[in-house]
Amino acid sequence: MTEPRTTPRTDVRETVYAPPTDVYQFDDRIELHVDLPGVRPEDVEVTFEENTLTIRAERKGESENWLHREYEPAVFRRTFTVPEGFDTDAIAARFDHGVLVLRLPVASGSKARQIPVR
Amino acid sequence: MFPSRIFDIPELRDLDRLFERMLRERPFVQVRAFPPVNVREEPERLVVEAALPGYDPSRIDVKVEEDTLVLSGERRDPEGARVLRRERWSGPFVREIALPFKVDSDHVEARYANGILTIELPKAPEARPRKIQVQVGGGGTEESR
Repeated sequence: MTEPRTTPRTDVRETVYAPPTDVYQFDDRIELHVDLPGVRPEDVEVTFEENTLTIRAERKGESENWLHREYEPAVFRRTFTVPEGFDTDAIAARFDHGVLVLRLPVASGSKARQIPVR
Repeated sequence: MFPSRIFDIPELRDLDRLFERMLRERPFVQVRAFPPVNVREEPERLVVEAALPGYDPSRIDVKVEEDTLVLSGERRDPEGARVLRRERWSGPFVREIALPFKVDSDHVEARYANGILTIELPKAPEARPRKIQVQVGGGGTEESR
């Protein structure tokens, strides 16, 4: 349902990462689960404008003397286009254990209807 | 453009094409061991941080086997969900990290915050820095000769 734009921005000083995201479908909603390890809850921002969900986040960290390093302080940014049929006023976000969960409830009018067969 | 094009050696055309395809299809995200870890040494301990977002800390196994730290666990999809898109690491993982010195495996501590598992491994007594007393004065110096 999403149109992720994963191209990294190169016009800024630091590298901007598109965080990996799983999309789950439930009977009444869709959930996006976005991995943001090491990001503090206060450093996550979600905005919704003109059918576009935008996630911005930052993993802060002092430069320490690492023997071995596989991840670093980083800036994350990703946008998702929300198609028709979702109750966009009821979009909810929760941040838990380094995962941002975005809940997109299906609009009540567009729930699958049973069409009686005569 | 590869040299084979310049000379147009028929036998090399396929190789040329294969090479071009490989370059084009190179994934943007490099496949690496999971989870990614950072390792830091402090005077008394080794600190390993592993990025494990959304994991139930009680279901992450941390073990020290000889000179290797072994992390293993699994993250499950939410119940009743159908997966429409999968970009995150899924299923079980095992990661082995070679330790640069002996550690006191009875006193390893782990904590979990914001999706980062931090493991502190105290150095074994023989691996800790030892203070060497510097003797001052006494016999045997050049002056006393």
